[in-house]
Amino acid sequence: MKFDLKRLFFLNNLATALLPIVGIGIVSILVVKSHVTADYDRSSAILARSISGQITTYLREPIGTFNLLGNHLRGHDYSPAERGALLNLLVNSYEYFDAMYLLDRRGTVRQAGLKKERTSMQADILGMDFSGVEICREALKSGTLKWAPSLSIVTGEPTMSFCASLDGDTVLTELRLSDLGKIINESSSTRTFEAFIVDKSGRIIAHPDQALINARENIANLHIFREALAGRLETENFFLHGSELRGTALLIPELGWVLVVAQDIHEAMSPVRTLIYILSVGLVATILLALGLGHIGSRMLRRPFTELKEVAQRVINEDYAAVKRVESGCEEIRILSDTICSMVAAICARQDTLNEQTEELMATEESLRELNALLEEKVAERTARLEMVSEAVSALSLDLMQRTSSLEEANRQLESFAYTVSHDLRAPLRHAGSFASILLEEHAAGLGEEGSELARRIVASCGQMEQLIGALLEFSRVALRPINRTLVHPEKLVAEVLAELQGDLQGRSCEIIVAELPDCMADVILLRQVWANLLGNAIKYTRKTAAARIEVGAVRGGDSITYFVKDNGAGFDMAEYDRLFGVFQRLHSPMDFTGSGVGLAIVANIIKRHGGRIWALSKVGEGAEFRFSLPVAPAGTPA
Amino acid sequence: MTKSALIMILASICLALGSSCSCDRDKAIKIGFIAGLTGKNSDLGVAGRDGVQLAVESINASGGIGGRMLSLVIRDDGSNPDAAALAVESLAKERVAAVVGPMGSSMAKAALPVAAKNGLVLVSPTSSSNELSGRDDNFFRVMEPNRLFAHHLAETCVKLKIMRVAAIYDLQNSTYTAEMFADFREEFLRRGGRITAEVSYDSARSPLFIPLVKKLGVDRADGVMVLANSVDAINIGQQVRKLSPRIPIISGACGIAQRDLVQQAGRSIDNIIFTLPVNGRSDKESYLLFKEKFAKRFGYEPTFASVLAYDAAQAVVAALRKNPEPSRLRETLRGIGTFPGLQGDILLDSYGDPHRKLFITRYFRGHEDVIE
Repeated sequence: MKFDLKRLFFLNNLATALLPIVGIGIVSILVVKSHVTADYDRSSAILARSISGQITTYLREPIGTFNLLGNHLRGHDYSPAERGALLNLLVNSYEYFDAMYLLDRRGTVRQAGLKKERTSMQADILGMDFSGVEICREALKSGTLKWAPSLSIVTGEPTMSFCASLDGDTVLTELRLSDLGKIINESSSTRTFEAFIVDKSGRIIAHPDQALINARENIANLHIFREALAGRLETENFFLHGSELRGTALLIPELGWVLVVAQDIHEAMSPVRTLIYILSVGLVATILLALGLGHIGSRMLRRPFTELKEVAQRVINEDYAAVKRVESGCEEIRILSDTICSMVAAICARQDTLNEQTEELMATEESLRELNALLEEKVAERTARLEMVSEAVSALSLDLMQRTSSLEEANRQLESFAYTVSHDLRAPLRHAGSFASILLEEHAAGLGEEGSELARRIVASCGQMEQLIGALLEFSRVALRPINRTLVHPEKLVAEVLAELQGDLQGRSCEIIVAELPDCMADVILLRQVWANLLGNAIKYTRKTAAARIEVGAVRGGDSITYFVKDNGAGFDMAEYDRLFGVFQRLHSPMDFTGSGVGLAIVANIIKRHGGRIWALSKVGEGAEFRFSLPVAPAGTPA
Repeated sequence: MTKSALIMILASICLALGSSCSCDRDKAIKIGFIAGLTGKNSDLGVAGRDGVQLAVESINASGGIGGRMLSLVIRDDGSNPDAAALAVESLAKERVAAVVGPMGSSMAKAALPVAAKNGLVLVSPTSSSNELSGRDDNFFRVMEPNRLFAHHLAETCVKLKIMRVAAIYDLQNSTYTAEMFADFREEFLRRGGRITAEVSYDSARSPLFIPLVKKLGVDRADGVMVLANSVDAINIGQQVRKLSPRIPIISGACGIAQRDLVQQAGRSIDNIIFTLPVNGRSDKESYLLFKEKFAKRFGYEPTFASVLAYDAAQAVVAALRKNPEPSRLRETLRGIGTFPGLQGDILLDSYGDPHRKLFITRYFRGHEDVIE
């Protein structure tokens, strides 16, 4: 929920004005209501007692007169006419008597005293039978005075009947209830109370309003009446004739009647109502005053805020020159205005600085832009050149790849050719050798010495030729054999090879030291061939060394394992190293050391095909060391 | 001044004014009651009022009509037709839903045009004028017309071998008394009876009764018919007894006395015969319960007027239960058919006239007997 300042100020004024007056008002109303109720209850109780006393007093006189009449009649032997005259005299002498009847033992009216205006009714009354009147029967039976409310046979109106026994006869008197109403009226008129008397059956028998008595209103259902009848002084609210009343009910013990003193609740509570009225008027006046003051205050408060808002708007619009100090009697507003002015001054100063820095930055940016352009030009130039170079390299590379491919193909064809030639040449050569041997063995005599010599040379050359062809076949077979990589244990291979070469070591002093050789992934047959050739060479070239020593070992490094075979044999001249791994290349005289000259070529071919490398170090007469490396796990090989 | 400020001001003023004035909006359904509560015929009116009062209190104790309480607004017509018309006018201003009453035929006749003008329905407990029956109007009642009572009385007289009747009647409320006597005479003569004397008087002039009764020639009659208010009826009865201790006294329903007057009637009440629409000796459970509650509430035994007034109030309540709209009450009552009465269901015809059984009641040696 959003509030603007004006609304907040208005609500504040309203709350400040309303809450105290409502709070005080409610408390005041409760207190006053409590006091008024207590005061009212006290007053009504006092009045009820007072009226009750007056009624008792009032009734004493007619009762006394009535008793006096009884005693008088008992004491004097009056004739019927005299008795009638006496009754008439009494009824007309005392206002409160309505009628007086003298009844005989059977309850028949023998004499009647009536008001002057009703004297004519004597004839009707005399001889009437009142034997059914209950109080007469009770009075006759008990001999005491009895009374009860009833209806007048003369008027039909409610009346109070008194009856007393008189030597077997009875005197019945109708007492005017309207006089009780007068008493009540006189007693209560100054207090605006409504008082009425109710008989024990709940019927209203005396009331300032005679019509209510005549209407014989019955309030037996009211709680207040029942409580009073039970002897308890009761004050409470009740409904009568459609109005809510508050009243006190009191039992008049001598008569068995209940006196009710009541007042309309609205009238009884009129002080409370007046207070509520005053409070309401005060509330309205306070609201109006609060609104008026709130409006003025709001305007006073809003003006500097409006100006401040305009100042803020100018700051937003960067119209700093138009920012002026806001004049106000309020210290806080002045401080706020000064703060805004200071802020604007600071903003202006900072903006100047910023402008200068911006200009510098712009100049720098321009230089940078130029440099950048130059740089981009150079980069473009170099890129173009690089692209050209790259194209050339690519072309070279492609050419190289094509050549390599051609070479490999040529090599493969050459190897295939060598194999085919070697294989095919072998049979005729063997035939030539065999035929030369046959000549020597079977036709030596015919050949002569020279012919035999030549034949022997043929046999020897054929033998040498076959050996060379055999070596060539071996080389070709190795070169053409496809590589089948498995996990190889070099130690085991070395041991097997050394076992096979044991015959060459017979009668020699040769120390062979085999260090730990790590396993590797290689074609086991080809690698065995490598070890056989290298170890065979080492044994062969140390033949002439007195204390021959051959060391076999390995060095693990990075992604490859380097194996070596080192001997202290004849060695070779490193100047001829380039021929070392060529086919049919021999660095020693066949006289010194036999061999086909393809052993190391085979080794080099095998190592190369495994993706490895082979090299050697040597000094003539001091031995040689051959090293070859194999990748630990060449890509694409199974573990 | 903003809109919210205006709302706040109005709310505050309403709060202030609301707290200062008593907001006693009466949501009760008002039921009017008119009867002669004062004067010589007041016993009838008071008994009727007490009957209606008890009905209203009982309905309210059982939760009212659809949760709404009933409120009884009482007016005294003093047995005066003009006052009855004014009372209806006053009740219309009070916005009552319906009026129970008036009790007297003359008063009902005078009140009816005013009620019709104001759209009010009158449900009379005891009005029995022939003139008010068989009419499509705003008048309903729970007591049958005089003709029926008169014929019933004539028939009873013949049954009891009372063939010579001397009659006295009050010219006040002549709508009832004169009409009743005329109907009686017609039927009685038709049945072979004879009217030996006919005396009328004006109760408003406070006449002496002994000369009037002497004019009746009691010694020449088998019975005396008294059509008067209860005070006069008792008074006349007393005078008749002075002349003839045993002669039967035939009274209209209005003459029946209340307990106070019964006491003062003494032996004169012996052999008084009434025709009533109520059985005073009924053992119907609802009636017995009513009698008990009534006596407890008002301190006296209910009279036939109390019973009829209670029934009249029940007719209004039954109609309001059927349709709570007061403006439709006339139509609702016309179509109500039967409704529960204290002595059984009461049938209202489309003219608003009841059909119920009549009972002969006789006071004899201090007892009230019901003769079929």
